[in-house]
Amino acid sequence: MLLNVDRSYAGDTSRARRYAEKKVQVYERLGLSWPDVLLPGGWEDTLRTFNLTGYGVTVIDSAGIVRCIDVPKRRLEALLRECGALGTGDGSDS
Amino acid sequence: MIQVPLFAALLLALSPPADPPADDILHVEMKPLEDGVAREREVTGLGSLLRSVFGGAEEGMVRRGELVLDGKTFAIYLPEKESYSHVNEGENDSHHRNTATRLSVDADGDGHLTRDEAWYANLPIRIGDRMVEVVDLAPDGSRIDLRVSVTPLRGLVMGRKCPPFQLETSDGEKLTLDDFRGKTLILDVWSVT
Repeated sequence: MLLNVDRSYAGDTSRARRYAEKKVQVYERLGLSWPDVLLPGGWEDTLRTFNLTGYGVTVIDSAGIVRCIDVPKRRLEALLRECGALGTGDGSDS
Repeated sequence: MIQVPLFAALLLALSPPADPPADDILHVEMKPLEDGVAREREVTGLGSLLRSVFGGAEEGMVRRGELVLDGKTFAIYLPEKESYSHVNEGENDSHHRNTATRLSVDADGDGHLTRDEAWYANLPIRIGDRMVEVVDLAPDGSRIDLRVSVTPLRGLVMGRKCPPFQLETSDGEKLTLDDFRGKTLILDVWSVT
């Protein structure tokens, strides 16, 4: 799930969407869906709901447990495999 | 004249004079730290790149206290500041505008403070799977008063359950945590601005 905080900068979100097309290539390569969420409150929403204060990727496993916050890019695919999100053949995705 | 038996007079003399505290207030004495404990500093952009090369940027904690909750002891830390406050005087609650003190709770007890263990004192703090509110924070950082809160669970904490959420996609679709039950979920915070 992509959480876009551009609205907190009161910017033009159309540019964000074009940028997102490049960003999601990683997820598409891994065969993952990527719901695109525009957070109306931007960084305020990320803090109030998730206590997240910076950019980055957080992985939550199928049991709803937080596995890693701010996952290094080089580790993302391996972590997703640990969680069974890739190559399981059971149709699960994120 | 009312005559008070001697033993009663002694008992009154030895009793603490202050009013008893409210039952639901948890008082935490924050003592100065002799040996520093560091917390991962928030870095973005070029900072993230530098961190990946040179290692984590850290912020030193200067005070430590202990809170017992649900039979477990949690260490709470305060960073070095001129004055401490649980009130946000900024424009909003975002990380870039929030002026309230950002304290840390060692959720897993490993003595290493990570970003997910840092909380703004003006917002409910997650300790375990409970939410706690800061009722008062002494300006010199010597004491924190807390109260267990009934606010919904918030905050991502390593090894703990993701809090419930309700978000809306750019297509207007509503998404909740339940929609991802049995699936791995990736939260990718980004912007182009």
